[in-house]
Amino acid sequence: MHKLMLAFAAGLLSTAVAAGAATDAANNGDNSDNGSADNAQNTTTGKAGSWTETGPAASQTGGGADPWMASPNSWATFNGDLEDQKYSPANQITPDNVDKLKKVWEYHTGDVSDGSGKVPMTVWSATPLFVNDTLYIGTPFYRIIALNPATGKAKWKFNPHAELKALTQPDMKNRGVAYWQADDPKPNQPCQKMVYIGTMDAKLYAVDADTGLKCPNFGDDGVVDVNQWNTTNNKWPLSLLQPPTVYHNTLLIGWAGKDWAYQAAPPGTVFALDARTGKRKWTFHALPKDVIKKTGTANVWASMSVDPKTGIVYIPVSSPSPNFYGGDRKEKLPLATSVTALDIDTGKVVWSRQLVHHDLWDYDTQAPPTLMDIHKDGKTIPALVQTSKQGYLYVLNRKTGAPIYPIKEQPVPKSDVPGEQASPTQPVVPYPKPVIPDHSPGAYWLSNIVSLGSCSRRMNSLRNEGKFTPPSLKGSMAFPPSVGGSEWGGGAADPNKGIFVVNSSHVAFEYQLIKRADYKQKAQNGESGGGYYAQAGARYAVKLGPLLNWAGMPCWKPPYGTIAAYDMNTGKRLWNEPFGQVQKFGFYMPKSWGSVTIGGPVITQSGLIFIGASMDSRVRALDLKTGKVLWRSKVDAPAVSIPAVYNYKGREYVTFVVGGNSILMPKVSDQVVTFALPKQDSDD
Amino acid sequence: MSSSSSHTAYGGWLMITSAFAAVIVAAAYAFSIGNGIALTLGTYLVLGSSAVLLVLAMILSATGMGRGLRGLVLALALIDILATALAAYFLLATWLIVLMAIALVGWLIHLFVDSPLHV
Repeated sequence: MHKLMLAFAAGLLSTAVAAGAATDAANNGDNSDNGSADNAQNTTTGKAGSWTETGPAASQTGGGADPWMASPNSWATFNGDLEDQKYSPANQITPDNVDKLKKVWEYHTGDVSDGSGKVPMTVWSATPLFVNDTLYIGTPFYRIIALNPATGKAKWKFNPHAELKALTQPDMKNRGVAYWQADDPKPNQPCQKMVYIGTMDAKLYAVDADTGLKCPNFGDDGVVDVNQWNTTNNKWPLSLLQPPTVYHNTLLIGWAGKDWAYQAAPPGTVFALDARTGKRKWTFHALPKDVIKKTGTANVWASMSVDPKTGIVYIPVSSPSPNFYGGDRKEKLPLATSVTALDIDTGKVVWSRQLVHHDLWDYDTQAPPTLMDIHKDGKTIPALVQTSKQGYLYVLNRKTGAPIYPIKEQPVPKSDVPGEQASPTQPVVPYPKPVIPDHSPGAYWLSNIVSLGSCSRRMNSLRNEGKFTPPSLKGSMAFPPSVGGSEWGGGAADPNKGIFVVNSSHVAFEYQLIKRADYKQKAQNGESGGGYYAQAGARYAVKLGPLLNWAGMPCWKPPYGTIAAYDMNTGKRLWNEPFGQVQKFGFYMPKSWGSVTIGGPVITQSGLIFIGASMDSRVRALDLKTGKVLWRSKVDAPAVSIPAVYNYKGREYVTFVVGGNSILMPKVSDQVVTFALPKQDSDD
Repeated sequence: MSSSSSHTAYGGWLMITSAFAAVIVAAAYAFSIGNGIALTLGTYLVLGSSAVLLVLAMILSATGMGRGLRGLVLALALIDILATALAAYFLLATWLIVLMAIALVGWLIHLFVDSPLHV
């Protein structure tokens, strides 16, 4: 029980918090000795207190996605494309033949740790990239491995010899690499194609995509130290766990931090770098200047999406610090917990929509919005679908930020915590149906019997007035908590059919604020371990964790995880099914319970959904029409990642990275596994 | 007290054989990485229970045991078979379920055909 609680908490620590937005042009001590040297040219105060600094590198963007990225055969970005559709036009594997799918190869990186030795446990959620006839993998030890996509044989490996310490996260984490290539690559010249990987200690490495050798013209001999721009409340490094978003010659970089530890933390920023040189083009600041000394985060720790036609980048901005008490940050921080559109050339805010006011729940905007056109009332609307931890699907006009399906400002419970002042209203989306119910499902009879009634007694003792019940001194029910709802995997879209698919978790936590003096006393007594988080500098610490009984069973009713499909043209939910299976001590629980999920789905043109994500160490293919599982295969650990679907020499492949995540269960792996249909006789 | 000298041992040997196979299969489930359940408490449990079943089956096949003790061992073996099969069901360990079914057949043969309890 305690381990699971810790696991949940550990996962939450990986998320970073955020607030306000801005674009500016400060230099923050840039070093002119290397490619990242950027004496700031000017600072611009933007909308909602946001500000942007511009650097020395010029920006020239527009004109659609690069051909290498737009190729129907490739899987060239973290989300498969710039629009975060996670859509492949591949159609060799279909609902009719997917049951014949076989493993064609597997590869083990060797970069794995169960935490029993000196190296912390690994959490590996890399999306494999297929581009340049090569499969590129980033590892939780921050190595890059280039593989032959047909055989899984290594072409080259790059090792930055990164520090294997969990500086900001409880585990060693990585979500893969990014790829860039020149518009017109010159033959026999290095670094015309580059692969990037970030590290937990804020280093961004660039290597030649064909050889794995460092690109000396990028930053300082192939590396940019992003931490050079970490100048406010710099209690920890700006961890580069999420690979950069690449658009033409620009790298967009967010970062992750150490949540729940401090009141004042590094304030949220997004950096735009020149893809060739690593020089900074601009820095976007999410929090107003006048508050950054006493709060922080509101950072972008997930991936981003880009409209290649307009050059607008959409960023998911997380919640501000401290996450669970806002008494010392009552100023309006309109870009915190928001989806925000930036001009990719300047970093200036085009529009922004706050999804949670005065966030007290760590409801980071956790994934980029999926960009898709919606056909409604005879019109084609350029739309985006923003998933959320709170379970709503925000469907907005991506040019203006205006809601396509209404968002209501609804009165919500007041805080009863001295010093706190919760927002009187919160944005609520009644339609499309939220991915999880608005109210906690109540105690589960089986867990209650096993616990001799303690589940229901505990749940009844908590403050529980529905979604947005503020944290309290006696303890509040958080359904969903900061693990979601939806997580960083977001959803996938079939742009032709207008269908959006998203997996989600149904989890209940207890949030309890602890008076500082009581926390200090507990710390002195050695009782401030699992479940307690300092929020140092704030009036209150916090204790949180999932509501489990003594046997580790969730106290609340199943399902614990679902996957749903929506027709975005009408907003109607087409189907909603329990997904995955809970696995405890190796035993599989009933399918109707579903599983908490981490990772995202991929849709193919042929009408399939490929997804790992569940805690039962399986990867699956589902029928897009019905949500029924058509194929599944065991893998070494939970595949907490987004799969890659691609075509190579006329054959369709599906590759999963299988790394595990301590949030789900303490099971780790270093497996990369690829599936395809058996070769036909006519194949070469 | 003494058992009949004419009783057969088909059931006992079937239990021994299936339990021995179950030990091997359970070990494979427990230590074969990549099967989804390796290195878990559940697989160690069925490995242990299969081993216990093997011992119980060997005891049942031995001669010179009193009726009371034989009855107790028979009961323990049945519990072991059913519990292992149930655990295997939740582990999705199909081969182990099959072997426990065979062991159950052996147990029934031992009880109704071989057993000195009935002579």
